[in-house]
Amino acid sequence: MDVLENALLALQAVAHPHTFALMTIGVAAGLIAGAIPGFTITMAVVLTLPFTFGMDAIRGLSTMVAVFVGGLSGGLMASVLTGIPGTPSSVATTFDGHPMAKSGRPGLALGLGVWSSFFGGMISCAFLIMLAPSLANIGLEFGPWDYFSLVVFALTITASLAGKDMTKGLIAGVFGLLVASIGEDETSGVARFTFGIDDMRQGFAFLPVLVGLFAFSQLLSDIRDPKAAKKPMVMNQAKIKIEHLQAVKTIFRKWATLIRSSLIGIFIGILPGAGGTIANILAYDQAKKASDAPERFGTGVPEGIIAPESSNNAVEGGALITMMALGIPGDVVTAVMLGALLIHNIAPSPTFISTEPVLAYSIMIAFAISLFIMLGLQTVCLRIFVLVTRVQMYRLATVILAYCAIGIFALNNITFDLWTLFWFGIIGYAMRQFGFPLAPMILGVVLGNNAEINLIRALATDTDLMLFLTRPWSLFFILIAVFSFAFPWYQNLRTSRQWTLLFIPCLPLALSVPLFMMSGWVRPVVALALLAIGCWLLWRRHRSGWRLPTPAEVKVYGDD
Amino acid sequence: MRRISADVVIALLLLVICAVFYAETFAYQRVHLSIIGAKLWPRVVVAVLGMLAALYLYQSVRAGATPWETPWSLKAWLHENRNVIACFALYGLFLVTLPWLGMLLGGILFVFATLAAIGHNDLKSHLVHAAIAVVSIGLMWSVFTFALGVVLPEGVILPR
Repeated sequence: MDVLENALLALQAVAHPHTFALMTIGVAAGLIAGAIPGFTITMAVVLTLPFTFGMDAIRGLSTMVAVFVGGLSGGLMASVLTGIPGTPSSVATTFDGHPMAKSGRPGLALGLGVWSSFFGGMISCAFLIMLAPSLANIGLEFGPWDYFSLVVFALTITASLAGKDMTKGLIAGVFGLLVASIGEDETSGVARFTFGIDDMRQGFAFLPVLVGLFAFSQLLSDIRDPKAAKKPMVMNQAKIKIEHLQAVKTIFRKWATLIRSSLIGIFIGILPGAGGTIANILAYDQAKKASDAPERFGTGVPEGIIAPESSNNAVEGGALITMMALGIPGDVVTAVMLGALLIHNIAPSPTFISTEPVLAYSIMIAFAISLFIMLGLQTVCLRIFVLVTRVQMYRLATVILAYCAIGIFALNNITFDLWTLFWFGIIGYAMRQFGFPLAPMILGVVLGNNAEINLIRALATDTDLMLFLTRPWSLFFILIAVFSFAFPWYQNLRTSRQWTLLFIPCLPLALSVPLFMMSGWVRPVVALALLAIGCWLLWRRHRSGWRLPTPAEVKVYGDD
Repeated sequence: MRRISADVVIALLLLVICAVFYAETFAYQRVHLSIIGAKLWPRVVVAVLGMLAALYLYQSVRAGATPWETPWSLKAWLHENRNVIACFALYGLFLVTLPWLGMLLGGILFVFATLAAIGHNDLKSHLVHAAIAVVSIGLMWSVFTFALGVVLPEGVILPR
């Protein structure tokens, strides 16, 4: 079957009235969840998962994509109207969205946010459709060595995003691998780490672990303060009408900000583990640096809304590219989607697009359609979404805790899953309190099994460990893993240690080595380009006399 | 006054966990058909976790403990975390009583008890809490039971 035929079959499945209705509900649920400060989009997607068990994979995944798109856009309502970010992905939206709303233009602020979300999402959707199939062909070249190194890279880069607490990030990731290894070994059937408990022989189901770690612990963190828990999350708002026409005109005038921010979002989305939280702040920062009047940022300028909202929506397209092309999650939401695929007996792998083309195209199409649904719902139901946010947090949190229990039980119809939820809720809460990031742990749980299988396959084929360094793709991922591992040190020491001057030039130089080892002519040409970039950066350092940047320069100009 | 930091305690706890898990790998059953033992991967993971925990311990000890402004007291900690503790305790109770109460009755009681424990404490609020508990759980129970066909735990008090 060719691309067009697969795409048509996917469109047929997604455009089915039943699927469309589920997606509309999904977008609405996402908008509500996103609008509630303290509720993350991840939590909304995680809580959707139990409802998708009874659906086929296309409907289930389409619904989850819809919740995600709705959640990203819902976050802007709280950010603009209250100044409290609805989700971490919309933190930067508060910087200019709220001042604009306070100055009497809440309709324009919301319009800019809604349409920037839409355009950002559409740009990333176009990239997804263009890039994912080409990248998937690369995935077909992977052997077990390469895939194992890819998992190592995904865990390392996710942990490195924990910044100063990289050790904690790595511990969380490896702890996730440990959790994934509990239960019977797939190949030999040997029970591992069960400590004589029969229920643990089947291991921990992914969903109770995920809901416990994320949703359960998040809800308890939200109600920890008794006074705040009893207050309405968002106070009453006057009637607001979105200024669509004015917003679209403004965005077209600021098209450079839109394109730049969307590209930042896509790039951040492609990096495993990085998500909208980073993208929206980075895009805002870049918009400010590129502006002729950076001092006006923070007072309610349109670019201050366009940049974060387009970038945080563009993230998902990038994350889906990584998920579909390489079989590893681009962010926590795509990690949940991979979990959903496992529930539907579809193993995530670099061959996902070639083995499940209709499902892959369905996800892409669902993403695009969800953006249109989001636009319609934001316009028609804005007031209802705002009203929902007046509920007191303790009431909402308690009801959702009970829903978690019902949803989790529905997974396998066993009470053990409820206890898993409970214990991982405690672990998640403790991890939050002590500053351990949860994203690497989720990635560890999701990828643990694949990592083990591929390591065993690699060693069963050949016990020579040097193959991890002599196979081009494996070496490529190991090199990026090493650089992402060292990145926090580079960031902290770049104003005081001489070796940091070599860090950035060495990255393209090192990556050119595995690319030179690859067949064909495109990759060696890319390697030559990387080599040239590395040499040029070294020459620049040499020309400036190997002078370290001052703290002020680092703050103003950022990095290379 | 300088005391041991929470990070040091967590690092030590992780090292103990690693030791226990590593010891457990020696109890694995030996399977002759397997080319590479089932213990290889778990041992690699535990060893890496142990090394990271040791690094974390080193970093924590090097950073030193922050002098606490006020001495730690169990009473203050319990007061500060009373909502979280109440939720965990009631959720645990809900799970323990699930075989008897079932998902419908147990869920309603869990929601009501949790709302009463962490929410407003007046008659009107309790009536609202009761309504929320019955409607929310009743609705979700109906969706899963009748629409999705999931057989939720029935319990012995209110069997279907």
